Amino acid sequence: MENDGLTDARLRELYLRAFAKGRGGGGRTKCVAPEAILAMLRREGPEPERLEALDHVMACGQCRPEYELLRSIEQAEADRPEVVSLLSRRGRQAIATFALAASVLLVVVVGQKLGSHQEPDVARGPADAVALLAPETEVDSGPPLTFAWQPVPGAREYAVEVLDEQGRVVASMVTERTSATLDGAIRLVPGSTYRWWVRASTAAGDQRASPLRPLRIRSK
Amino acid sequence: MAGFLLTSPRPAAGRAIAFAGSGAYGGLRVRMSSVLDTFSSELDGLLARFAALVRRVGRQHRLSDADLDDVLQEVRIRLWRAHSGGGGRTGEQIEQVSASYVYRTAVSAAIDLLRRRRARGAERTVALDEVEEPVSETEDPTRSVEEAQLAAQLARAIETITPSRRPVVRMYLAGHSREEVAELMGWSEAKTRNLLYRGLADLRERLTEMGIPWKTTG
Repeated sequence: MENDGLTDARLRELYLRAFAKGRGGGGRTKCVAPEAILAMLRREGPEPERLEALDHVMACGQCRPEYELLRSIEQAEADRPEVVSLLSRRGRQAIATFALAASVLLVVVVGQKLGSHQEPDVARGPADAVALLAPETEVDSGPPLTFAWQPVPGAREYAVEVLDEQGRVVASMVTERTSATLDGAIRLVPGSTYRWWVRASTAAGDQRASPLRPLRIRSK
Repeated sequence: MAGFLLTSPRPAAGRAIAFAGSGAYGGLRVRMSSVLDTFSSELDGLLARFAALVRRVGRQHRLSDADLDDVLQEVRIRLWRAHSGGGGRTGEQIEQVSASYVYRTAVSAAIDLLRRRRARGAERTVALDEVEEPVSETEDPTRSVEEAQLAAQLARAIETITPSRRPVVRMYLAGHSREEVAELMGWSEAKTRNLLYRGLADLRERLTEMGIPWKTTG
């Protein structure tokens, strides 16, 4: 094959192309465990093992994004200005009050669940996720929005959340039904993109969640 | 039971947003909403600041926003669980919600998330460089094949680099700086530079043998 000589930029382009799909295919049996990626980021363990892990991660199109996720979280912690409580006194007082009120409410509403503190796993993924039905990913502003999803067998209640572009929860509700409607008098901001999701809780305490679905409000 | 609000309506970009429906707990619900709203606001603010930090760090190397969103969701769920009475925590423990606590929760949530995905075989993580390149109708098929061959040759050439140097070369080609390599491995700048230059020399030699000249500036 003829070429006039590769530049560094071209070589990097080819590199990403060469290793975009991972190595060898057929599952991830040779991939580095997430814990090993974390250990590598924290410089834990012998150097040869960390080098071997790094060699795989940098050549694996599946491990590399995982490495990047963990690296970004680790680095963000290192870059954080100082370790201080970010909750204000007002917030702390509110939380303490909340804890008391929540415990009272829990006794009244879900008393039968007290004593069972095992942390249920929130399953999320194509196989067992809550299937979202409506709205579509882009809607007109104006009409009241109804969120709907497929019922989950055994679900006691559903929690639906709407997040804004910064990931803040802008609305949240728990319902036994499989739909919830936003107050028609109040609109989501046209031109903005939100995300929403639903989490189902069963009487046994198991939880299943939907993926996040984007929701763009069209500008008129 | 219609359920109760976890978070009361909160201004979003200057507008309040609320779900319609009647509450079942009257005044208690209103007070709970107010308290929960305060907690939720604090928590959301804390998570938003944390997310901004992570995104800033990850931007350079194409951190997947979807991945980070999933982690933040997990963190939010865990903090809610831990601080809503279900986890058996006391008010004193609740006060210890700090950036450091959020960080630890995020790491744990990310590891669990990756484990679950692998267990399911789900491949939701899709970085930009992993997206299948669309085959353009106008693209020369011969050129496309040549590109694939060239990439395969490069992959083979890299495999021949001395193992101690190879990961450094990979990081360089993946777009990471020498400083990042040094930081990750805990090496001095001199050691990192030495390994990188030797590794690149290995690669150049092998590519030349393959008839692929490389005008490196590295």
